[in-house]
Amino acid sequence: MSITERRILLHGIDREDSAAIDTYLADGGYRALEKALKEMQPSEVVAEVAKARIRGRGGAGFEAGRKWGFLPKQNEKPVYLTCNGDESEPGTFKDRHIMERRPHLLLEGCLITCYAIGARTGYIYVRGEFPHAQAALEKAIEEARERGYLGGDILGTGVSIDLFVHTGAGAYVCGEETGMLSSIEGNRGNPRLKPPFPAVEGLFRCPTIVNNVETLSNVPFVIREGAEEFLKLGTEDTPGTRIFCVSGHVERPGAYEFECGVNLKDVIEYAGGVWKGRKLKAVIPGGLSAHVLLPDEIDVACDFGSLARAGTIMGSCGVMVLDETVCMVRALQNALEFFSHESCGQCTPCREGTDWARKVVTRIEAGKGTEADVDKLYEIADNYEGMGGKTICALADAAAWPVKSYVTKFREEFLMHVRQGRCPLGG
Amino acid sequence: METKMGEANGAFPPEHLRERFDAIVARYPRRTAALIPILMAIQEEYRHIPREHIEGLAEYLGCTPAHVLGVITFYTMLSQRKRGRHHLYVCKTLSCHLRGAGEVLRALEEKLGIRADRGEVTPDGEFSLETAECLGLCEQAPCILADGIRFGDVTPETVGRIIDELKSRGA
Amino acid sequence: MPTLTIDGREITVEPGTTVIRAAEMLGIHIPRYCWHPGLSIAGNCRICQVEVVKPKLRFPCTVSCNLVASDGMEILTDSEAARKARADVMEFLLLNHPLDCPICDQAGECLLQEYSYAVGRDKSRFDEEKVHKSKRVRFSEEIVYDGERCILCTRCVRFMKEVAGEEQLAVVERGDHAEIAVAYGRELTSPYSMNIVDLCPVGALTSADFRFKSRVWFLTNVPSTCTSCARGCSITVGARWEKIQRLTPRENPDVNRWWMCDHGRLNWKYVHAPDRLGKALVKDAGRLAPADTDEAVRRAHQLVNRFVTKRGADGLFGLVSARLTNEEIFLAREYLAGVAGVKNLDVRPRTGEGDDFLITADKNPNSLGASLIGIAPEEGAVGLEGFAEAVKAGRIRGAVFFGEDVDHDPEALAALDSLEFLVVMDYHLTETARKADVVLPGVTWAEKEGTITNVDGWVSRLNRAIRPPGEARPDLSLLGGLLAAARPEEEGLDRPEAVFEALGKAVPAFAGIRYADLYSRSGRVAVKAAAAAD
Ligand SMILES: Cc1cc2nc3c(=O)[nH]c(=O)nc-3n(C[C@H](O)[C@H](O)[C@H](O)COP(=O)(O)O)c2cc1C
Ligand code: SF4
Ligand code: SF4
Ligand code: SF4
Ligand code: FES
Repeated sequence: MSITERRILLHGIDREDSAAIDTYLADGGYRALEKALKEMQPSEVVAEVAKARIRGRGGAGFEAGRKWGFLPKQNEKPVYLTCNGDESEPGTFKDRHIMERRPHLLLEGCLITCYAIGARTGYIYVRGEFPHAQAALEKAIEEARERGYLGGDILGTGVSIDLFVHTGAGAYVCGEETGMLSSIEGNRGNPRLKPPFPAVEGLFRCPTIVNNVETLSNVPFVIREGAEEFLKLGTEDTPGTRIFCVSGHVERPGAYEFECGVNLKDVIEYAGGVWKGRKLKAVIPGGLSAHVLLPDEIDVACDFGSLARAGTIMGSCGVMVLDETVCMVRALQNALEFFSHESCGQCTPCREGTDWARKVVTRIEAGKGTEADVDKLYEIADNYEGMGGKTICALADAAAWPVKSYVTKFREEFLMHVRQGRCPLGG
Repeated sequence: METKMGEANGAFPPEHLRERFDAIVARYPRRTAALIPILMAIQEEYRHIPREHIEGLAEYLGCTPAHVLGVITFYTMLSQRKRGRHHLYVCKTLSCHLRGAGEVLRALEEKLGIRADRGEVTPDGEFSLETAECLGLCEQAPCILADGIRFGDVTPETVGRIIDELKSRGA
Repeated sequence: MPTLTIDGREITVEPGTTVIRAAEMLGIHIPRYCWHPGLSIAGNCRICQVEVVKPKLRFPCTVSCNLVASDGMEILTDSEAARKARADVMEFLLLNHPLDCPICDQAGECLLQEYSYAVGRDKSRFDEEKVHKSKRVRFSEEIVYDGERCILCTRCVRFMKEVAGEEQLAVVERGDHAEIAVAYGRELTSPYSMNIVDLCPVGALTSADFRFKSRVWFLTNVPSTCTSCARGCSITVGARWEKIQRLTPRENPDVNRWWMCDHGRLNWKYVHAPDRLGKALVKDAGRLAPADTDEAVRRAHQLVNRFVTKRGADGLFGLVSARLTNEEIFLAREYLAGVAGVKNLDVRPRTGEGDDFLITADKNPNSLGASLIGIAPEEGAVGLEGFAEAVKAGRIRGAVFFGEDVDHDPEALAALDSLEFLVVMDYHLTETARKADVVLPGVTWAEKEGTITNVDGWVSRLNRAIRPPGEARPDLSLLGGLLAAARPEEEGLDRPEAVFEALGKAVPAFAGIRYADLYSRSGRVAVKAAAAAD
């Protein structure tokens, strides 16, 4: 089946000047902000967003409106918005597209959200490897300030909101929301123990809302068009569109926006299908953390629920396509190099376990493993995966899912490395 | 040519950066929150975090030198070793790996005569090389980020052109 | 207040109480590395996992140090799931650990050893190369760090930041390359730094002072009290071969919580100094010569008695150390004021730098005790300040120094030469003692029993940890001997407990405190002296 893109977030990004404020304004930009500020109470904005059930695009799929509702009702402290633009889940580049090509969309989303949650200040955390996104946002902030959409007394309503870009400096774990808060405070990017949750005690120990760039970029549409219109997009499970980041062995890697519920197979086809006429070997549908899918498992609707039922996650929507030439042991080694390198090292199981697993898979890849090593590899991952119980943050889980799914689904390939004492694919 | 400005002398903030740093500090309710943006600026200015600046920076922001050291060593874009005038991050994570990042890295290492895993710098101080975890440019895999410029769809054959381009831009 | 059950036993706790603490109240010890009651919760070691039966969570087990008790909660600390979770953590912790216990100072009090017996697997499944990290890094003159033994619990980092008040330590690098470090060219400068050696649950931080001295299981550990300032921190004296090997803080919620200062910790070398008095000395033909102790006591009393009989007590000056115990000070007062009628009584003040945490400016450990018991010059009488002047003027002609000297004051020291007689009781031969007619060989705090009253009025026990040298005797026994010589008809008073009881009767501030309550190996050792509070 051939599908078509539905560009709401990526509207007009092919235009040279898609980032300019005038382009944005010409497309109806900042009207949602004006509507929220002039016609709606903050609580009404929260209610509208809750009604739209925007599920968190950072990966966990938590509904934004519900999260905002966790802010303490009685509160003397300042409230902060922190927008998560760390985008370091391998295979993911959607937030970069928004920040670079449609920075005003994100700013408008942030401003409306700040108004809704009562925040005077918001920080947009952009990873250090995204200098272009940082520059685009800085420029957009200046433009918005000049036109009166940001800063003191916005549009003469008496509402004042400041937004700042905060740069990261190279650490995947700063994408974890509390690691990000540590980083903004000028600390090592260590995730924090929960509870307390950020909504209660977050940035500078004040109530804080953390949302992903894409999540917040949906807010202007919801306010301008209404939740009803948003709910018409996507599925019951996951309303709206999502930006699919297709990479790896396809003909046309890229960021494509579809309504949620689109079939994974079609997404891959849309990106040109497996390159060089080769056969498909595996798909990682939601960023490197996601459990791998076999070719016969990709006839699945892309929303949070369907992909969970398929035994994987929608995650960050980073769709990585692997063709028949790929050695899955080598792929796992690559993944574990990433996760062990990115573990902040606080928690014993994650610090020790991810590196142990990396060493074992490296040995197997080199043809120096045993059959027992293959089982051990699985067990190590099983011992550090804890759904939040065994470690402070979910990086450990993210590092366990590839191990468990590759070893299970490609067990024979792992064993062949052992038996032949080398990579059977010649890799 | 190396400018005098590029040398750290311990006084903090260096005069030419003071205004910029003060503006960063003003964005936060606590001074230490400015630490990472300021370290990134220092890294850019000096191509590393000079040891002589750690004490001064700590004092400027009201934290301890130990804290600063803990932060510097946490983030991979901050380096205590001086990098080349042109520093290349070569992405090695899965999407780039799948499309030949390994070969690109080897070609670069050969061309420049330096090793990425050893953090080497070419003898003339021009280039240094480092593998990076996913740069978020996977649609252009394999990719390189150098001097804030990104290069996509790199092949072993095109690395020479990248080096030439970086050279021609100067420092 | 929530009521929960832990291993089937019910307990009701204050709201906000964590499960690890609630378990402790039930006497259930949950293993821990990073958690310490005196530090913030880090939750990083993950060894304290327990099974949460109710409420149902997304996971079977989680850390008890950050789990707040809720009503109806059901916890199992020793279920199969909990045991497995902990065994997994143990396995992870030991992967890169050097397992060099035979040469590790921590052996015997290492929580890694302790829990690996309790929860660990018996065989290592780790066939890879261990990560190599920094060894023998000097954090200060006194503290040595071994990165390979470190389990990154961050207790030391948190202590420096939260308790010592300056973040002088940090975790550097990340993942399994992480280790603990001081900044370039810096050392730990906090006067409390050495507490991190005690805090470190493994052998990663060791004390240069104690390193390789003695296996900890050979030490006899005696609870006592630091006498290096008026805080009177509760301590444990570790001794072997009648020699102090180390002092460590002992938990006392009222005085020092879990901590002590480095100065107090290291200030014990003088106990074993060569100038210790092992024998009484009596002046014979202008020179001090060894004498029998009982004989010396009698001689001392004779000198006092003769002087008072001849000239009255007004010409006599008594200096009583505020480093002596309450009991000793009490007997000293009984003897000097009670028997001899001395009004010129004083202590020698000692002051130095103090801070707003533990260290007091007052360097005498028992100033409050001395003042409560009444060691101070009466109105119009001669105090230490006027002593030299009064000797010159011929007003003071004899003196008795109990546990004290005037070595710090050349004028006072010179004045001693003009006295008709001088009796000194001390544990070492001071310049002052050299000028005495009789020197009674007392002992240090480590060799005797008794109590002292700290700056806030908490009364804590000293206990004898080692034998005194030669014929030296606890000062209380020497003072008791003097009293017995003065009042041969009365029953002798030289057992600390009996003296303390008498003190309670004589000085209201001490009434109501039972001596026996003060000695305790584990619990509370300080009881507030009622009067001191106001
Ligand atoms: C290891 C790890 C890395 C993460 N990286 C990112 C990231 O790069 N960007 C992001 O938005 N969320 C990331 N998340 C998810 C965030 O913790 C958080 O759930 C999210 O920012 C919340 O925003 P949302 O509800 O709008 O998705 C990460 C989570 C983990 C455990
Ligand atoms: S799970 Fe890993 S990354 Fe997350 S806090 Fe623990 S050690 Fe750090
Ligand atoms: S040195 Fe000791 S106290 Fe400090 S982090 Fe390491 S194990 Fe913990
Ligand atoms: S604070 Fe005072 S009593 Fe406590 S250890 Fe230090 S010197 Fe001893
Ligand atoms: S004691 Fe609870 S995690 Fe360390």
